[in-house]
Amino acid sequence: MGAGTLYGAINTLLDKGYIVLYSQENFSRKKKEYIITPMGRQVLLNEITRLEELVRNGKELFK
Amino acid sequence: MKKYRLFYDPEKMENFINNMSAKGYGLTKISGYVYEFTKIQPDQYKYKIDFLNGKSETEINNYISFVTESGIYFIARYGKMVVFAKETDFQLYTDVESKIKAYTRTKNHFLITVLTSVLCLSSCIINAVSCYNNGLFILLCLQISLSLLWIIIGSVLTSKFVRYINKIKMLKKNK
Repeated sequence: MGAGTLYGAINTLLDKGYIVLYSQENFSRKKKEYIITPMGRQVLLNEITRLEELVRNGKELFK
Repeated sequence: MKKYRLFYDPEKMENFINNMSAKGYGLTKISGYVYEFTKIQPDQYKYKIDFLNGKSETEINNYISFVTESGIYFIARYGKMVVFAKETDFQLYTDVESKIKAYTRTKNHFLITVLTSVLCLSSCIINAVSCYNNGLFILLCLQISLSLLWIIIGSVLTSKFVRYINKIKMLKKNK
């Protein structure tokens, strides 16, 4: 994934409150780590359920 | 080594920098129309220009430090225009959504130059009219030729601009 795309994606997740900053290195590299929030986890689980339903429906229709 | 170039097309600007790299000249600085180069191995780096119009100073600095984290070098900055480089060919934007956003920012960057040329044209026309009214015919000729020059520049800019808008439309359609 391109660095510009990844930067935008991380900021979207931060703005939506799905992830928060976990740790940040202040030395030579400003490496940052993020952690998923309870809300982010819930949204992720909902998305997995949605995708599973999609696959299940698809399989039933084209049996 | 310094080169003087004016670009109204972001792709041509990028091609110019990459062609210089192929000849063994690596970009070090951009300041308006002045491009400074230093000797490098031919094709040592590939360059990408990123237009960050609409982003604040803090956002731009955060973005630059984020991109350099991923092994891409920050080469030069002029206003909202940033140049990155890497040893191999690379892309900053890899999905349609972020490409649309990047192209839109580039479009806005060049919108300013289009508007400036329109402004220059209108001031030339106003000057020409006042010269005509005051009977200053030598100045009138000068203003008319200046107006013609701005009409040519303006139409070239507008055609590039329209092409860019169409490119964004195409991307949105294929989403």
